[in-house]
Amino acid sequence: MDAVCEISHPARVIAHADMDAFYASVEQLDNPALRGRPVIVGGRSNRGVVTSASYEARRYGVRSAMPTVQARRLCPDGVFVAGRMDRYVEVSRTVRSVFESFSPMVEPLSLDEAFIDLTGSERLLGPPLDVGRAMKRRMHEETGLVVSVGIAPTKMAAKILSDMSKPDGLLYLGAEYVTEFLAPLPVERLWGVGRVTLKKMHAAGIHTIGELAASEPAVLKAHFGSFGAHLHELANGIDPRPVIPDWQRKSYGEESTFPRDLERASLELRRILIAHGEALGRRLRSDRVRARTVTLKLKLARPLGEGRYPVLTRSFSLERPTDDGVEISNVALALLDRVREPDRIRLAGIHVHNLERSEPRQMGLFEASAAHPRDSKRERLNQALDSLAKRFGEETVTRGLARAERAAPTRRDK
Amino acid sequence: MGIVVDREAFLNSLSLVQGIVERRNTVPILGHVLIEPVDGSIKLSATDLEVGISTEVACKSAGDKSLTLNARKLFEIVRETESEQVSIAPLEKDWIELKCGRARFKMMGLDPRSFPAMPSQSARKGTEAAPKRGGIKVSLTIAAGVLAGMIDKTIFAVSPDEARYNLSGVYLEACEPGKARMVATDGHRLSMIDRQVSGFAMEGGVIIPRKGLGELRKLLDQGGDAEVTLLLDGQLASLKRGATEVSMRLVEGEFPDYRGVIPKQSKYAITVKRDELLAAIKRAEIFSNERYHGVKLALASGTLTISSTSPEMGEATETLDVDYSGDEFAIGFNASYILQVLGVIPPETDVTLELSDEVSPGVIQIPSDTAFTYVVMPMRL
Repeated sequence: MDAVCEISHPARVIAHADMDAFYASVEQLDNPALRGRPVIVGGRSNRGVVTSASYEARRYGVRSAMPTVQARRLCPDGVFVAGRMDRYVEVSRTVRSVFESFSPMVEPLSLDEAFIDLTGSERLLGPPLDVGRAMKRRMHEETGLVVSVGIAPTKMAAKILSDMSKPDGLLYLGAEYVTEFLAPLPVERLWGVGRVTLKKMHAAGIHTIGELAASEPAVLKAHFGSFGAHLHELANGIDPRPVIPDWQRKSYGEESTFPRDLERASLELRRILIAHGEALGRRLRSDRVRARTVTLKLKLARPLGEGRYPVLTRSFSLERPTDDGVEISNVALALLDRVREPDRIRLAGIHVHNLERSEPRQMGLFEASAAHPRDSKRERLNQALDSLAKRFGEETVTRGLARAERAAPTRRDK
Repeated sequence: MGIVVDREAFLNSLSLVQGIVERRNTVPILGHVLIEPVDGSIKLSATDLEVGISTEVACKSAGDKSLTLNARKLFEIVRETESEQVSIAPLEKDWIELKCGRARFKMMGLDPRSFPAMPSQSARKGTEAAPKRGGIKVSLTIAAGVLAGMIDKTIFAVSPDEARYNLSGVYLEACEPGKARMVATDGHRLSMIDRQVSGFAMEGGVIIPRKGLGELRKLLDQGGDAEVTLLLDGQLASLKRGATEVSMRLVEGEFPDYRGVIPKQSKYAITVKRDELLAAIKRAEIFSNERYHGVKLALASGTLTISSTSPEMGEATETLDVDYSGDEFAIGFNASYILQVLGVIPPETDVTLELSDEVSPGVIQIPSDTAFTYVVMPMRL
C-alpha cells in the first residue's frame, strides 16, 4: 500500500496568566483600608515612576511606568505607597505554586506573570476554559488576588488575549481562529515591533497584523531582513516558541553596579560576591535546579567612551552541579584572585549555567562519614536558612561576610 | 540399590534447601543438592559457600551412593508429581534416573566428591583463615517465635547493596546482659529491636548475613514455638532444628555506630493507628514518583495530611486527624520505607511518629512494644 501515515501534531494549548495590578492588589489585600481606593505603588518621591496602579487609579489615567509627578497630577487623591518587594516576592511564591499545580511546564516572565503549557493535559484537567476557570478560582482561594488568563495555541496569542481580557478576564482562542483573531489588531501588538520597525511598517502601508500577514515575504525580507520573515510568520499565527520552564532555562545571574568603584582586592568586593553567591544558591534551590558552571563577571572602571567599559568574564566548571551559595561564591572568589587587571571594578556579578534539575534526594543516616562529608550538613543548613528566609525575609540570616545591603542586585536576570 | 522416599517429606525438605542454591549458576555444582545416605535416611545439603543448609529425610530406602542433582529442577519435578513416592537410582557416570508414578526423568548429576564443604565443616576444620573475631563462642537460646519476630522486624531494613558489606546483614549484640538486640540499616533507615534473653551475654556484636538469616527464619516456622539455639562460633552462625541445620559465615566488617543516629529526643510526637497510616500512605504512593516514591507528610494543628504529586498523573491528598498542636511543617519520605515498617507491625496497633523538622530523622515506635525503634531519614522532595 502507498498510504502514508502522517502523524499530525495536535495544537498546543498555552496559557498566559497575569495578575491584575499585582503590587497594588497586594497592598489592598494587606491593608483593608486601601480597598476600593486608587492605590499607586512606586517611588513616593516625585522623581520615581509608577510600578503598579490599582484599577481604581487607572480610571484616572494612571499607568505603570508613568512618572510619579504625572500620576499625582492625574490622581491627586491617590494613595501613594512605596513598594514592599519582599512581600511581593513572598506572595509570588504562592502565585507560582498555583501555576505549577496545573502543569510542570511553567515559564515565569516576572513575579506575577507566566506562560503555562497545558498541552496534553485535557484529559487530566478538562477543556481549556475549564482549566482557566479553575486557575482563577484556585488563585483567588490561595492568594485572595485576581489573575487574568489568556489561552491560545501560541505564546504570543495567549499574551495578547490575557491583556485584552483584563481585569478579571479569561479568554480562549482555538487554533483555527488564530489568524482571523490577529488580523485586525494593530501591527505593534506583535512582539519585536518597536518604534523603528513600526515607522517602516507604516511607510510600507502596513498597519494591521492582517496586512502584514498578506504581504509578500520577499518584500518584507527586502525591508526588514530575516526579521521580516519572522514577523511574517508571527502575523500568520506561526509562533513555535516553546514554554521553557525555569529548570530548563539557561542561566541565573546576580550582579550589581557599585555606587563607587572598588579595588579588585578589596574586602568589600569579596563580600558583595559572597552575597551574590548566596542569593544565587537560594534561587537555584527554590527552583530545584543545580548549576555546574560558575562565571564571574567584572566591569572595569576604565571608560572606553560612550559610557562603555571593558567587561571581563572568567568561568569554571564544577565536577558536580551545585545549589550551594558558599560553593558558588568560593568559585567566584577563586576566579577573582586570578584576575590580573589593575583597574578598579565598576560592576561585579556571578552567573551560573549548565543547569540540571535536582531530583528528589533521600538523605542518609551516616552521611557525615560518607564520601562527601560536608554535603549533607551544608544541605541541611541551606534548607534551614531557606525556610527562615521564606518565613522572615531574605536578609534574616546572612553569612557574616556577606554584605547584603550593598549587594542588592541592580540586575537580576529572569 | 536406589533411594525410595515419600514425596511429601521429600518436597518439604527440598523446599528448605533449594532457597540456598546459587541462582546465577556460575559454578554448576552450587546449583546442585547433595544427597547422601546416612543411617537409613538421606541427607540433603546445599550451599552457596556463604550459607549452607542440610536436612535429613527418613525414607524407605536410602540407597548406598551419594549423588548430586540440580536443586531447582529436582524441586520442580517433585512438586509437580502426583505419586506418593519418588525413587532415585544412579545410572552410569553420574547420570540419575527419577521415577514418580509413571513419569521418568533422566538427569545429569555431578561428581558428589566435588561438592563443596558446608560453611560449618570448613570453618570447624579450620581449613580457612583463623577467625578474626577472636574466637567468639556464644549461644543464644530463645523461643523460636521470639527469634522469628526479631528477624521479621529488622531484616527488611538490610541494605540490598552487597557492596556495602557492613550493612548487608543484621547486627546482633547483647546490648546489656540478658538482652539481645538486632539492628539493621541500609543507610537511609534503621530498624532495631530488643528482647530479654536470660543469660545472653557477648562482647561486641556480629553481622549475620541477610540471605542466611532469611533461610534460618524459614526453619523457625517449622516445629512450634520451642526454644532454639543460635550458635555463634568464630566466623560462623548456625542453628539446628530437628534434623535440619543452617550455618552461615558471618559478615566481616564493622557495623556503623547506629546509636549515634537514633535521635535522643524529637520535638513532636503523634500517635496514629497503624492501619490508617498504612492505608493512607499506600493510597498516596499511587501518585508518587515511580523512582523515588516520595510522599509528603504535612502536620498542622489537629491534622496529618499525606500527599503526593505526579506531573504526569495528578495528585493525591488524604488527611488524618491527629493530636498535634505544634508548628506547621511538611516532611518528605520514601513511602516504601514507611510502608515496610508498618508491614511488620501487627494490625490494630497504635504507632507513634516522632518528628522534629523537615531535615531531621523521623522515629516510629510502638507504644505497646517499646523495645522496637525505627529511624528513617527524610527525602528532599
